[in-house]
Amino acid sequence: MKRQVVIGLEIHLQLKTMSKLFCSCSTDYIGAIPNTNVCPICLAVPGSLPLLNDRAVELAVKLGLALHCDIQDNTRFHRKHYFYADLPKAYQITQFEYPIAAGGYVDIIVEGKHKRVHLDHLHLEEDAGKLVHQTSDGRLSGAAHSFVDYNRGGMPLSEIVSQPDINSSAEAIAYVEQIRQLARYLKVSDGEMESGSLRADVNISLSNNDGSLGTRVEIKNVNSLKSIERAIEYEIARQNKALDNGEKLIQETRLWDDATGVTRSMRGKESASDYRYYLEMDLAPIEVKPEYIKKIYQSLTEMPWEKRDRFIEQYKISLEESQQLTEQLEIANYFEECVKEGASPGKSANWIRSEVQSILREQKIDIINFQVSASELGKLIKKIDNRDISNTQAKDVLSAMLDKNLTLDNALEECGAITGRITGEALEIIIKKIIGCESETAEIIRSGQDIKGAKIKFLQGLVMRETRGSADPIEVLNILNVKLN
Amino acid sequence: MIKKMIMDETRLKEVLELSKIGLPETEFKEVLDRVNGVLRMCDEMQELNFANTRSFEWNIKKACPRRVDSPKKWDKRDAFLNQAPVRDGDFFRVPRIIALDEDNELIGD
Repeated sequence: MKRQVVIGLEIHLQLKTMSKLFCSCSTDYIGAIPNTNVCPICLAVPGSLPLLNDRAVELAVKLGLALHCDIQDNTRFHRKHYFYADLPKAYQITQFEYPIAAGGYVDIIVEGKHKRVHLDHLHLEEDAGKLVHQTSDGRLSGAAHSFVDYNRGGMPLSEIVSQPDINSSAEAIAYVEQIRQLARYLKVSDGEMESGSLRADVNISLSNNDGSLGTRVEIKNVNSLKSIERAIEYEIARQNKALDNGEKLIQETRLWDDATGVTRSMRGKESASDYRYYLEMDLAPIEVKPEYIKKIYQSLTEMPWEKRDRFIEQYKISLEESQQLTEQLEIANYFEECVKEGASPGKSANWIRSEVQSILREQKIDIINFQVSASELGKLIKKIDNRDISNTQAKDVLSAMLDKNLTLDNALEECGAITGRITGEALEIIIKKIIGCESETAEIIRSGQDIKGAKIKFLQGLVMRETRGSADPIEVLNILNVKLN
Repeated sequence: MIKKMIMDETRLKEVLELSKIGLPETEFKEVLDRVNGVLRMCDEMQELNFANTRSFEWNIKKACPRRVDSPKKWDKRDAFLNQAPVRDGDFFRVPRIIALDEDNELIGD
């Protein structure tokens, strides 16, 4: 039987601050020597007291506003207790009853359909340390000991909790992508799943026969978008099979194993009472006054979805083109600079989505490290628009700019494109030469046997090759028609 | 009517599991007696009337102080690592608490 899939996501975003949430230790911990970014506060030395990072509050408010949340004044931190070696205090400082941002929503587009995913809240919390499990022979399994690195302990996190509005893996991915894009636009987080600056826990259940929510299972350890998709698909199949067999599902936390493609039971799901939450008395209420919120609101720039819609309206490009161009702020800016140089939006969009993206992928670089400036690419595309050079020639010019580190003018000269197009009499001489070499083909055309026009297109292609693309294909076809008909 | 708090054997097992404490079943009765003694005291305290008593918690007038986001290096980490029960290079070494089948690195809550 068909059961409705119900998914809620908890996204942990590492906030892009210079220091940790409650101490001044550096947040630059990737690749750092273990336990070097630590101090008495994040090591939980008795007597040490937390001191809240102002920037973390600002970034959380910024993110909350962009997610259409209501920003709350006088919010509190709680202590969430669990006993584990990655948590030196044996409790995590987090927000429970009074999160800094409540409500809100994220709009997603999946297969052309718009959907609104409502948010429960967004709260601030500290990250735990990292445990490494390794045996003496280097293997990870069967280890007798764990090694603890507290460099990550105390990193500022913003947890965004959605309502169970998501109904498929595709929607879950679109939701995560939308939040990641927003976090990057706002520069509140790197949003890198690979390095752990964006982590997602998936809550999934199948509806009961009467439409009520079924037993919820939480999946942890999903470290990529692909893992999210695979874990959800696996879990839907597992839960459906169990219910079809008349089994009862249990509320639990399961761990996704990417290597084997299965989820495994990790522990029975704790409820809030198991964590014995109580107010963090070392931290007074966080004051977030209307003037403060207003100031941050005014600093917000154009949101990615606003930019996407504006591009469609202003530049008359498709939704798909606009989504790709606005995926990263830097690429969107690059596109607009190209257009400012007078390049046509349609051609600029094509060039950036195909040529430029392919080079970025090949060189494994971001657009900000791309050698060719938007201004120069815009000028190059403008030359194609004006039919000064062909598309093929422009590609040669771009290659020359990259391979030989040339300016646009020098690359045009290098590729022989500076003198303009081959046209008129010069073009007629080349066409005459090609007809001479392909006399049999020319005769077929003259005798009227080239009904489908394949032969004349063949000759057109030869001319374009001979001119290295610097002739206008329409002019070539016109001259061929005059000479052969 | 205030619900009386009481810990039974099932709840005790749950707490023991969460706190990863291995308590022999022979000691359950003694522990339950002691814990329930504390809970009885809490129940008695719930009968107190706080109607006109302001909560200490919400009596804080001062907002949470915040600091500027500026990293500072703390150079005494070795002193702490040296005091750890077991130091292993740059790491604190601890007994493996949960044995999982997976080779994956564990992720905290």
